[in-house]
Amino acid sequence: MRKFVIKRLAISVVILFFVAVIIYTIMRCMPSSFVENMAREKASLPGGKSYNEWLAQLNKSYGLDKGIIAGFLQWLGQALKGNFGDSWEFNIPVTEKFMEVIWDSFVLGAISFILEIAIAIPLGIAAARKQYSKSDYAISVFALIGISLPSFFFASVLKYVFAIKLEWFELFGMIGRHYEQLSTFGKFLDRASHLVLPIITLVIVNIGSLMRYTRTNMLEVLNSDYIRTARAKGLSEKRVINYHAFRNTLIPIVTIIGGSLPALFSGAMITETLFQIEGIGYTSYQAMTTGDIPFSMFYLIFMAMLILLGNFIADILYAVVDPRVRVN
Amino acid sequence: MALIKKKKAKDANYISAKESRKISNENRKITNEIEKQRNRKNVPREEYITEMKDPNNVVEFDDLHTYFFTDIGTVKAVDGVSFNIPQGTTVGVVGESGCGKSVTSLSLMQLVQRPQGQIVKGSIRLNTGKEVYDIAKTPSSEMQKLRGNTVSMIFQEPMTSLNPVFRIGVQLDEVIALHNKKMSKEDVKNRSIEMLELVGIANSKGVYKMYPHELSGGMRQRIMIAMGLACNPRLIIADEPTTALDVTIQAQILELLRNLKDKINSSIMLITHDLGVIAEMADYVVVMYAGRIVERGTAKEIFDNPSHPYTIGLMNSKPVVGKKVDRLYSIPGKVPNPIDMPNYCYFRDRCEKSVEECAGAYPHEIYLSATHAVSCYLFNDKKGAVGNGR
Repeated sequence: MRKFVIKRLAISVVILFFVAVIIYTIMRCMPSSFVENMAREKASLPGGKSYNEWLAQLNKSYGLDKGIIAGFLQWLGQALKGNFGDSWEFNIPVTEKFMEVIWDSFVLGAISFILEIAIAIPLGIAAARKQYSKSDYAISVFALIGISLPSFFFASVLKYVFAIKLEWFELFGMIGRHYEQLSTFGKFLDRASHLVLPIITLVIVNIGSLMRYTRTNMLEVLNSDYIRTARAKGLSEKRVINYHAFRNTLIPIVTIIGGSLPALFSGAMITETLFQIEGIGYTSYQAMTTGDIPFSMFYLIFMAMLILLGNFIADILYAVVDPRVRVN
Repeated sequence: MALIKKKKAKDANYISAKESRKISNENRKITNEIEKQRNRKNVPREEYITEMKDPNNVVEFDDLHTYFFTDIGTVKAVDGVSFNIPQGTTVGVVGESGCGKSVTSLSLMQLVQRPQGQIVKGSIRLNTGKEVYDIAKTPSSEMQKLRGNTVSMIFQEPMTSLNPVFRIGVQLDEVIALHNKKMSKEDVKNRSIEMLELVGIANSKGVYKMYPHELSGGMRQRIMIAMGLACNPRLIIADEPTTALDVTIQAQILELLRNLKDKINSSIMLITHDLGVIAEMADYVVVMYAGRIVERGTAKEIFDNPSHPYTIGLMNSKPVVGKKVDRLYSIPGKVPNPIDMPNYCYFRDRCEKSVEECAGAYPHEIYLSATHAVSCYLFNDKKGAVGNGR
């Protein structure tokens, strides 16, 4: 087991290095350069230097006058010391900005993730138990609607119905207008009510695939020989499904769930933008469009690490639920 | 070959989407009706408690019809099967693949894939010693008390028939605890280990803690047998128990089954297509073809005097020690399409001895002796016939 963990960690470091190289190269080659925009802005001000002069000066001060490889090595050297630099767009240290925005995204992601699992798995199992019945068709149609709906469309419909027509929730934002005057509990309720629509959007959009996946796997398990054996023992249908079949359905599901752990921190760019929640998705999108290399580098490397960690967790969970893959 | 055949058979097998939809709608109507009947709550006991015709029998199949309602038509997997399993005997059921052997046994366990598969007619009387159940009408809740307890089943695929994520001990304990609610945990565990020893597993305490994937096929089949015998069933259904095993293990497993049967005085319904196994184990033999019984009798009668051309064909297609043949015999053709069976002897088109009369309706059972019955026109007016069955 220890050998396995060490090996996986070593491989992860190598993968991370190459991911960083690729991301840095892409960031440097992006057409919208932060420095170019700034130079253009400064040059258009009355008096002073021309665009080219500004560009050269800014390139030098932002460290872009070096080649890609030299620039990368410099970034890497600083990053290894834990110094990710200041964000160009937000003018504060990258990690500070990150800590500022990550928690809203995490709360949003975590709640919808838990809801997704709590809804999708029971529904998927229910659909599989009664294959080709009315409830199976209803669940499948619901799942397909969820898969097919683009989040921006669905979010807009929700906003129209619940915010504009019914006025149950606010149209967007994280806090209401009178947030400061509210009591502690009131503040909590205010924040919670602002999260309702984004969470519904995320849950409905993401629930379909997990549900379909559960259904397919459950069907496969229910048709297997050991389920027939379990029935032949005289076990009740409830025990057959909830004990014998469910444990086997868990095997593929944990890999999916383990793999989607990074989604908790990655934020939901479109949904956050639509509801103007300043989460990590929204912020990283801003950083990306303005060509903020330090912030984008930090965010993307962080994501890469999470994905590697998610796969690692999935592998370990796999061994927990399936005795056949346990490493001695 | 296959291509040419397909073209020829196209008319028979081709079915348009419209027709298919019509069939599946009709099927749903039929199966919903049966399911509704079956899923009623609080079915009165009088409906499924009956009497045996002969109290010495453990099971009496009486005109059993098990159909599968598929989207391309109704498959008559078991179409009017009647035979008895007397207490303490082994009854062998033989036939080619797909002739309804397994479905007959699954009907007895109520394990036919529902809602497509349904017992539509006939009855299966199961004698538990105290009461007689008609399995065709028994509700699932009652059936759960019989499964694994009065009747148990050993499946043909030991490699996949054990749940891969639970330890052997857990799976064995489960069935013992389920049918013996009063037993303490410790007793259940001891009983499991005792069962493991009974089926000849030396390291029983170690195996108790193992997972299925740590055991070989033969070992797993022993576990399956231990599981089947754990509650001293009156009837053991062994559905090709040795098919997936190599020959040396086969002999061991059969020996084991025979000894255990005598030890707990139960009956065995042995399903196989291996006539050697039947010859060694069975007291009575039932030969099935395309969902019907073509010949039945004691093992001696069937092996000494096989009468139905199909039985003769089966006998000829097994290798015999000491007999030199260039090429092993095989019955020409294959089992007919189970949808829309014609109303004449199903074996007619493959039969080498078919006569003019064979074009007529499906032949009745003709008794060659008190126990030996055959469904074939060849015996209609032969001296050997004792009289028309029924």
